[in-house]
Amino acid sequence: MRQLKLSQSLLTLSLLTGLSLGNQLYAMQSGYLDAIKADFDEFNSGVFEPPPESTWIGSLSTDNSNAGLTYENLQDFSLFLKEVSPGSFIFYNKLPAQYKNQLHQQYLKTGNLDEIKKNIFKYSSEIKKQKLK
Amino acid sequence: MNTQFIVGKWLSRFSLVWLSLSATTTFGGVDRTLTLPPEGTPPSAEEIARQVYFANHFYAFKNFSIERRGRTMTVLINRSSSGKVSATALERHLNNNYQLTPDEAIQSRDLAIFHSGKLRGTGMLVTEYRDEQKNKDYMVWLPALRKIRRFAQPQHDDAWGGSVFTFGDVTLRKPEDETHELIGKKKLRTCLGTIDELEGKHYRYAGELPERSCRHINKEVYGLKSTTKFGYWWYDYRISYVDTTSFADYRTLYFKDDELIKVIDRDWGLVDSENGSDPRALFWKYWYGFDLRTGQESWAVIPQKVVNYNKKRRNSFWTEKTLRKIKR
Repeated sequence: MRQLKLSQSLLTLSLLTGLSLGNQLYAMQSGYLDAIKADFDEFNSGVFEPPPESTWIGSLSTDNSNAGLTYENLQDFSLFLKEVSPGSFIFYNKLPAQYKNQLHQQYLKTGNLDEIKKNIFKYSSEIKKQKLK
Repeated sequence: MNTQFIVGKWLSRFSLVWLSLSATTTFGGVDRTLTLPPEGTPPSAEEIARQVYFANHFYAFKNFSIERRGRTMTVLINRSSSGKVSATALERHLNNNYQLTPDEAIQSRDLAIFHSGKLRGTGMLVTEYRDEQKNKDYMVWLPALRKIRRFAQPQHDDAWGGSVFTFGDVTLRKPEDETHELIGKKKLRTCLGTIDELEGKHYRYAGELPERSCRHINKEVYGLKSTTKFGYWWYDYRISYVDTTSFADYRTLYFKDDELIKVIDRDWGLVDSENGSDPRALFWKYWYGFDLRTGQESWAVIPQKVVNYNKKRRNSFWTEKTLRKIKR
């Protein structure tokens, strides 16, 4: 009898755990789903109405570290680079604007951060050589 | 253990073997000679579907590989609704470099090698022929038997590597399997999905997993509605967000009875940012899928350093000989 009760309790516990995990998952993804639904609605309405405080719309204005940057403008890209590669950013920051723009455009197309870092050093050494001449 | 049992066991894992096979199928009018639509003229829905097919089948490259670099490899992560996570590592080599002459029978060959999990040591070679009436060859190297076996093509709605992606999503679906309609043009507004609890974390095989991709926000996309021609199908129609320049399909939403049932997001990168290069010469950085019916998530991550293309490699690499050399 005691064993039966124990197994019943265990079953209930596992069911509750399963339910809460399932709910957790949907809660985790609900922000993502709300954002893509709002994005999809724009095809019909012609207006994008972002869900409030969404971390999926590339906003800089939130404190959530998961929030992505849009990288659409150079300032966003510079902030992103400073965060992910502070070492490269030191050299990047000294580059003239035209090189910065070039790197920004390259990142938008390829998304290849390793290549960006290589090019930062390449441009830095080019500039250094030009100055020496 | 008798041979029949072993073969049966491998057959049951067949769908997982298919994991690495992205697209070598061709359809009338789509092969590596397909040119970009003329500038200034808006492409039709069918033309957009063909261009998407071109990009997804890597026709812009002679050959395309996602290889093994030391311990770094492509990894497919599956997360069930209960939170259980599993992963499979693999490499894949695609060859489109066959002559475009009538006497050349082969269209492309695709070689996949698995390096982890139950499929460790398994290899697969898929040959597609120029003659569309001719079936594709599927040859699998079975390490337990140390033999090569041939298999039939999987179903479009079979799960791809136990993930939320189907074989249709990844490779088998052709533009002619659906009717296409352009629903509009707008900007992509959101970041692409990821398994957010794993974002930016260190993971076996792939190294550091990427964070959600927001690079494509504000890029202009076509909304392409594709309605299936198959009867009693698992979805009625799907809406794809297709880049107006590169024809990369960043997102696909699947609907059944007008309810959203599944989402697939794809992060793409351009291999060569130089001016004048083909904007469709793209590669996948990751795929993310979420099935709203089951709560399952899948994330295939391709680290940039394992991507290689137009490599000087003889066509003899894509033969049974390579399969036989696979070490377990």
